[in-house]
Amino acid sequence: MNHHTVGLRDEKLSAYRAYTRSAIILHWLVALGMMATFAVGFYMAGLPLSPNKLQVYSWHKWAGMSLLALVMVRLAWRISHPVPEFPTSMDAMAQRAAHAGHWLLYFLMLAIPMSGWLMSSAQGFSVVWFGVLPLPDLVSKDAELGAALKQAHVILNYTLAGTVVGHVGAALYHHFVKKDSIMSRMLPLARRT
Amino acid sequence: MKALFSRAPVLATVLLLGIWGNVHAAPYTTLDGAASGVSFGYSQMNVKMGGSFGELRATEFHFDPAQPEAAKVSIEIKMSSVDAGYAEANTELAKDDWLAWRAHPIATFSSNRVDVLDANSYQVTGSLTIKGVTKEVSAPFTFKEDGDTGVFEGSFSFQRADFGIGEGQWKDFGIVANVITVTFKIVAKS
Repeated sequence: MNHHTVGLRDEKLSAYRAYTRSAIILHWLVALGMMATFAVGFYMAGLPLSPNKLQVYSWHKWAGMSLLALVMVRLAWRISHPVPEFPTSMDAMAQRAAHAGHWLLYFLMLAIPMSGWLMSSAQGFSVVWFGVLPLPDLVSKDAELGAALKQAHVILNYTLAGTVVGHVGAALYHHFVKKDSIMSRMLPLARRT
Repeated sequence: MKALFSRAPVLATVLLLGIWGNVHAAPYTTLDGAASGVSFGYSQMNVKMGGSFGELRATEFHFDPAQPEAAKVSIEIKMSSVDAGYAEANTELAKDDWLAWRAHPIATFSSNRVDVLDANSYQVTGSLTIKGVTKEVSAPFTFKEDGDTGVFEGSFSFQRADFGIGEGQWKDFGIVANVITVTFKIVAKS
């Protein structure tokens, strides 16, 4: 029964060439969340020690752990739901590049919060989610490892920033130059019919 | 006669053991600074943090297991030997808002009383002075003999605000909690 319903919906969706409403919501939640958390991370890194810094760092970590959970939900949704196909106007090379870009984004969305969690553990700061739920330390305290993980966290973030620029650039290129529906099918207010 | 001769070495052994025993039961009077340690726990944004002091010494130390109530201890801890878990915090602790260790380089604990709680478990009550403020604290501790050393382990907590530790912008206990837990392991020789 359920399977049948999903099958019907999939048919309709592929006909509309759109992502599911859940996929669209998850995409924009993660996009806004990652941009905000990135901005906070960029701002906080140079702060001198103060109560404000400790608060900002905590919020950054809480946001990062929330995003990690959200990205896992998103990844599960992505794997269990078919995505609309690329238009035939895209050649095989462009389709492969788009796929590779999307999976690189998924890798970075997971690797960035994980590297942050790892670095926090290695530096001797346990993560207590929203000050309530203590998360396990992934590695024991090790200053050298902490410094290496911090560097990895920064490099991964700049890689994400570059990949997102490419992602947005490709979407805009499709929308304004190729004038296809690639971008609008992920827009929150896209017409569904 | 034979029996008498054989008794002599037995007697000698017993006597020797007696002296040996007395040597062991002798009071512990010297604190081993390298083997001893004072660590502390605090909570920062609800995250449990740990730290320690690297340098401590006793200006007075006397613990006789046969007369624990007569024990007396005075300990000095060098404030600048603190490690609060990360470099930024160590730098911050030097400041007047925290330990002000240029003005108050040493924290002291001086016992006033030792009570027996149980077999090998005691409680020391004394004056704790940090940053020029003196408060009375009590710490339960255990004592065990390990070879020719005596090992004293215990803990107590205090409220940092009582000593003016963490003033100004750090007064808010929502950032760094008020309660500081101190754990000590003192190793002493006779």
